[in-house]
Amino acid sequence: MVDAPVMGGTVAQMIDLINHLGVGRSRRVIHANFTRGQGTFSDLDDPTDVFRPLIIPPPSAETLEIPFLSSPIGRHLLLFLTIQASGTTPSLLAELYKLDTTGSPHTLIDAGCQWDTVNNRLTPTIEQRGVVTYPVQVIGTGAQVQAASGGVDDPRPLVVPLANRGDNLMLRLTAAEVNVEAVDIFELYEESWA
Amino acid sequence: MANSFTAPTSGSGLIPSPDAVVSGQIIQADTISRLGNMLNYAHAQLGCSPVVSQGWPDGVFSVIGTPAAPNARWRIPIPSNAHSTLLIHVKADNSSNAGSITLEELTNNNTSTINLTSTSRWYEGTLSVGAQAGTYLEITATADATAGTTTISYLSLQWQPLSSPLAAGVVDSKHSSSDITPMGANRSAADYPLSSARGVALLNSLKELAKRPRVFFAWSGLQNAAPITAPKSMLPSDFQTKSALSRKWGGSRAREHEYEAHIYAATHGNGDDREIIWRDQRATIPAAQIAPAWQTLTTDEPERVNERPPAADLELLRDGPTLPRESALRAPASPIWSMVVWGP
Repeated sequence: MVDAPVMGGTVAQMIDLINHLGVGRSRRVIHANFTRGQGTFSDLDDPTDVFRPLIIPPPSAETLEIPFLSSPIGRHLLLFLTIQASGTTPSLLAELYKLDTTGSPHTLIDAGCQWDTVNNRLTPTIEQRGVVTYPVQVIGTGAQVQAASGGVDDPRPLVVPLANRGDNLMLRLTAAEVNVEAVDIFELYEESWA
Repeated sequence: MANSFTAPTSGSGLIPSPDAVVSGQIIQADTISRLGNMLNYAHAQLGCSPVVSQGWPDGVFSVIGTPAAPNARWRIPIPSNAHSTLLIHVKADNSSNAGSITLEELTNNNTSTINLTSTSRWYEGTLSVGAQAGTYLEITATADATAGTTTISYLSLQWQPLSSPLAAGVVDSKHSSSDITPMGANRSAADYPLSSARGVALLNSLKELAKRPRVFFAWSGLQNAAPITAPKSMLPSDFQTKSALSRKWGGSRAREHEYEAHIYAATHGNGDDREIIWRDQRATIPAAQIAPAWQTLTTDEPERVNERPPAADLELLRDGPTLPRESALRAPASPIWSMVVWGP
């Protein structure tokens, strides 16, 4: 090439790597888990195989909250939830708030999405041969960005508005006949329809 | 010359394009400055996801009086020597306005105590950990009730990201043999030389940043808690329900990324050796080890992909301990008192 200074591949590889680190791995990834009391735990000394966690029914209703300091670049939140459901009409609502740590109300920033038996996103109790179990299932929002209606939607990634990126956020889960065991949250950065 | 940086928020045009510097392209005025900006940003933010995020929804983490020893403990990786502050978020209460929770790091014994009221709400605190020579530190949580009952509903710990401008000077290596050199914002602009020294500093910084760990899984049992139902160690159901999902990165094996599992373990004094299985690694906890001690297991990124949800199009790894087959013939409680997994 004439009159075209060449920088070659080394700098391009450095840029590839720093983009992977800065845009990819610097995004927040949150694994949250919930630990409950176990009635059979005191049975420590006897060899036994009668520990049957899947027959413990989930609580009828509870509200769980997960806080985290978001990154300045996360635009959406992709959720995977490990749960057990019971009854006939279990439901789980996920909302996103700006966290308040002074005792004042939290600020709702995304009305969120819901999994239930109406939108066929939850499997309730399984009964086989007279035995009722509450199988472990993994549900999620998917990573395909969709427009938020302003109300509660079917499962979709939650939106982190520009003004709230880098803030302390809080994911609130309102569960009915659902046992939330663990939640994996991934921040999404990819460009979208907006 | 301030080492300032701007977050590469979407649409800000700050992400450097590798296509701008391939053979045949004319040097752009701002490509190298964007590279320096991204390096400063990655140094500030990488590794600052929560290192502990654990909840106890039904009052199982509650104490009456002052526990004789900590209630929970974790080992957590340290991003760099420049990251020295842990951000604490805790949701808790004390029924008599007379309780607290104390976080203590066990290298320098620095502590942070948050006093609680009778209304269950979120609190924020910080813990300065001081100089840390190691790549990780051990931290404990102890709830206290001078009167009434203290109940901890949730605890989250994450490293405070660095703010702009970064402090001047080289940050010594932590996870590799290479130091991090923050980039002066103006020195990479147009008409400044791209010296070989600057190229070496960039390469060394990238080597160190590429080895910086992130936590994927953290769980601790409860010791000295008031409810007899509080799980002191991992139970069979936890192996199935508390595994974590993490991204599988292309090229991770070629880059010799290491995943580490740090496990605080002991048997229950009933005469049985107990086995711990994590990915392709195994460790045996001998029956005589009834006082817990840390085990460290390391391995490469697995070649298999555990899950690839069609709606997400992400290659994901499911991480956590595997329940050994022997468990069906042993006491239900596993030997795992605490476990933290980290990797790239």
